[in-house]
Amino acid sequence: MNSSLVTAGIDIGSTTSKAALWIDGLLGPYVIGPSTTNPRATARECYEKVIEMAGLQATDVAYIFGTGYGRAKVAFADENISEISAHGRGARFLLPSARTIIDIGGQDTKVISLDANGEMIDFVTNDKCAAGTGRFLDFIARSVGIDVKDLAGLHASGSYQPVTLSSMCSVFIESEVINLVNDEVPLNSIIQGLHQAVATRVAALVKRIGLVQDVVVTGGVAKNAGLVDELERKLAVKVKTFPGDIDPQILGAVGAAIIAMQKYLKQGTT
Amino acid sequence: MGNKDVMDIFRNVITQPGNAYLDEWVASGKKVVGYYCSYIPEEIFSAAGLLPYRLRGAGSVDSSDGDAYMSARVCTFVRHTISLALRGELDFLDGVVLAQNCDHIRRAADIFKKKIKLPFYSFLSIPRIPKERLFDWYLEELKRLKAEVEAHYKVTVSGERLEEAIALHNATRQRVSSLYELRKKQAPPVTGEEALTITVAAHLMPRDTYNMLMDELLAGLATAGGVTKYRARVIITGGELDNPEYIAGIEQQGALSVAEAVCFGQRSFGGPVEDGAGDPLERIARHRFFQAPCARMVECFDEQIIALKDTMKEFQADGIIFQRMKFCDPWAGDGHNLYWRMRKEGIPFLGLEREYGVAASGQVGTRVQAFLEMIGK
Amino acid sequence: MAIAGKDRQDDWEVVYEGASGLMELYEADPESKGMNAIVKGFRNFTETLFTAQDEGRPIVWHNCGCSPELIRGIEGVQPMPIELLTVLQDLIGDVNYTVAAIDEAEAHGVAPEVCSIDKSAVGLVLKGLYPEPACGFYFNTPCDSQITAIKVLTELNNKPMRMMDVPYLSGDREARYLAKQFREAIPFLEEHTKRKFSWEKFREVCEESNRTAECLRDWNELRKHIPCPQVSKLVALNTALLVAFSGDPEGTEVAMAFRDEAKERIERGESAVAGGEIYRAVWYQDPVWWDLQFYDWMESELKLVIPMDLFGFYAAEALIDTSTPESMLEGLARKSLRVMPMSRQFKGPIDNYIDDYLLLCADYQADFGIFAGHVACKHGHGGIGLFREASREAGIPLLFFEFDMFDPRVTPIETIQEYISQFVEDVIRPRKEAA
Repeated sequence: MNSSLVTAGIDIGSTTSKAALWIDGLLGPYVIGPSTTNPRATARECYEKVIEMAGLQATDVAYIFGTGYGRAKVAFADENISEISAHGRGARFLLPSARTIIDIGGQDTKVISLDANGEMIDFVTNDKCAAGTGRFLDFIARSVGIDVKDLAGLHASGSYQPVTLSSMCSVFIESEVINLVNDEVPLNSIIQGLHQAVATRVAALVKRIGLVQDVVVTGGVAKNAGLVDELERKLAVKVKTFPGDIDPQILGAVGAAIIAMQKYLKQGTT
Repeated sequence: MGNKDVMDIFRNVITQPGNAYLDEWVASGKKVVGYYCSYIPEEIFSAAGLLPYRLRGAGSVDSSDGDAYMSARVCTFVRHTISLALRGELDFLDGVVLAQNCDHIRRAADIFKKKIKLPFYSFLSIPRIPKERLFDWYLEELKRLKAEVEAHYKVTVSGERLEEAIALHNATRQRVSSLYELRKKQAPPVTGEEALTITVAAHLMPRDTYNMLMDELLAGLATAGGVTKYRARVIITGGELDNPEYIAGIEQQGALSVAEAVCFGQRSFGGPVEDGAGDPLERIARHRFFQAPCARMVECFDEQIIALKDTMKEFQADGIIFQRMKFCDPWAGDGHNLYWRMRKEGIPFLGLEREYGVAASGQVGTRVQAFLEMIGK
Repeated sequence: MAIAGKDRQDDWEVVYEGASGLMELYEADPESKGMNAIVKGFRNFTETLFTAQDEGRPIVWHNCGCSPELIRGIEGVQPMPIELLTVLQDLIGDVNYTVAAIDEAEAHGVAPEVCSIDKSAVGLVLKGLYPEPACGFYFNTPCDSQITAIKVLTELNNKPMRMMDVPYLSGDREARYLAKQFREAIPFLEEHTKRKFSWEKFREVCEESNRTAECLRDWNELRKHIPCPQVSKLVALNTALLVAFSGDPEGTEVAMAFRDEAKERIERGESAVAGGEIYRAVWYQDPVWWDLQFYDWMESELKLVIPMDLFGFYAAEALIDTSTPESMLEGLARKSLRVMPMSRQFKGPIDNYIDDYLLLCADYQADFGIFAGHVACKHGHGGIGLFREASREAGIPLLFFEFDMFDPRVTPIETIQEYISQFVEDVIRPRKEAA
């Protein structure tokens, strides 16, 4: 353990906070928890939890990078980096063929484009409008009384007959969805339509930046197979997954930990 | 007075709609006339003994008065300026000279005319295409403005008075140029936030006083230290920007603004109005009409690109940060076109959207930081 | 369905088929003279455009602020308004194509707050759906959003273009200024179309334009009749007619059909709403282009008729004096400043906008006004406070709602129907009953 190179990435997002350890070039323990109104404390808690899970002490950790919305509040980090770079570089490291990274977060969606050398060449974010983010799905799921975790399952159930939702704005879609439920439109069709609507918005962002394969999806919403399915239809590509089935929600933290490792090694300290 | 004292004065002058200099001017019986745009020459006001005051929304915490008249679907800059006017916070104004800069300002003009009803109101029709074939019309419009000013204020805007005004405003241009020259250094003596504070202040106070303060400032800056801690040098461009706090939010990430190619920034000044034998009003008209064009103008995009690239080179900038007020159509067009041109030419370019008076948010910070990371700085 | 003998891109064929289908429908209904004429006109325009392209004749793009007489002064040149396919897709094709074009433009970085007609134009250019122009000839009216689209299109297609500076006011001085620009634009057009402008041809074109104008003026008068003789949905199409057909005999044919149908129906005692309407409203601002049947619904369900709207209003000012080149250019300038719908009302001070609204409400005896607040219309929304006040002062109840005139996703049709029904029920019916 003493000769291990351990680095940490702490991703304080607006909805969830994540911490991950990168140990000798492999993913170590990680945690995902809700963000709070006290990001400093949350950062510390995540970090301490993840070290504990690894059976380590803080002194074993060589370098720490903070990222995410609350990155400036990760007081104990050595440096911080934008979540855009964290997702981008993290994804590239884990999947060297990745060129387009779609991060569908709780509150915003980002698309990152890497050039042939793996360097970030462009990015675009949608952070003003909920339609096209995780929040949109949460909102609708709640209004029809289902758990966000069940969306993928519902999407896959029954036949594939997505209903086309006409409202663009999440404020209006709620009543549209409730009307559909009352009209006894099958729930799976509604969910399929919902995923289609989000995928359309995300695809528009991707088009803005230009799609180059391979495409990966990161962020919590990437775990929703129904949405990923719709995204694949819209983009007419197969989305690649990360090897070892790494949870896409922790890509920000993992990316930060990898960047920490790269930075540490570059500095040449032992 | 040291440069820090002058900066404090400028900071004070720009926080609220009014300031002590305006109060003094008005108390001495003189008049203040408001305007929105660089295509309206300040020299005409100065030559008539009027103080040109460039309209902005600083000090407006809430745009609801403007919203009531203009809805929430138009530019927040305009809504805030109208809110101030409707609330009586621009009562030091004796008049306004407006133009069809854009649809939002055009409607603001209607509100000025019908609701705010200042003693003096004039409206110019400024051509959209800054080419010789339309210059005569622009000059005629300025002559008409001059005549209206003379009739209303019972003054003669003679050739001599125009020459004096040219000299006065050239003196400001020269000082702002000097300031910008200093920013070409590796360690510029001012940040973008400070520079915008300085250039905004010029529009809100008597020019001779401003010029004197600038002299003190420049003297101080000549020997002051510079900004060394930054990750990259950027040019800020795009639509109207008179909130230095917005630039501060960008600079906090390490992107040092070395030139603000925006209204209230460099665009408001340009080089000097030519000396010479020609009619002063015509020289002023040429100076304005053929200035570096903004998004409102058409058939001149190449000139805009060249100006931007020249600025980048002169100031050794690493990239361009473009900002646009939400709902702004002219800058939406230019924003789109700039993005693709810059991409083609490999010039790092970041596009931001904003609302007036809102400090650069965490979201802007993230984008700027990512931009810097992307360009390897 | 082939257009002018050849297969074309899907979007165009859908429009052409739609037009053909509608024509069959209307031909079976002898009452629909006006609708039939304009649909036929649109179909013909599509053929004409592709024929011009196939024959290698130059096409000049223009925008809806620009009525195309000057372009028509050059023999063989085909004018094409950049709004063409969007309008056709919404009216007679498939609105999903418009939606796709809008999305394409937004994906390419055009800000979403730009007007949907302009986003769609950009999207259609991105999709390569318009024949390449020899050059562009544009006006800076009716609004900034148009100018934005024009700047983006120019950047995309890299073709020479010239913009006319339509000034703020609309008097004699302004007419002379604009006329001078027209004169100076002739060499520009000649250079890029490689054809000669002819004053004789231009005279013919202006005379034709005058014939159309006379028909439309008469038609406007006839529509004042109570009960309103002719369907509501026809009025909005007047602007499409003027933008596409000014100076073209087809335009006169359509205008005559509008007029004759109104006249004949008055003689036969027929009205848009069977038995006569109960409610009359002036629809101000933009039509619901993507669902013209909505107007039919208002007539049948609410007994509400729109005798006149902003797009249908033909401000009967002087015709073009065709005596000399100068008088023709000035006459055209005056038409551009004072007659072309939207340009007339949208540019300049808000009085242009409000005065016509009040005039129409009075002349057409409206019970109320409808401000259909197209979301991207900045000058419209920017003036809403003053507009409301003016309507109130004149004692005209005003219904205001937001929607998008080309994008059906912003406010669904059912919601618009609710807005109007509720207003009629809660505000107008009691007023009429009390009166």
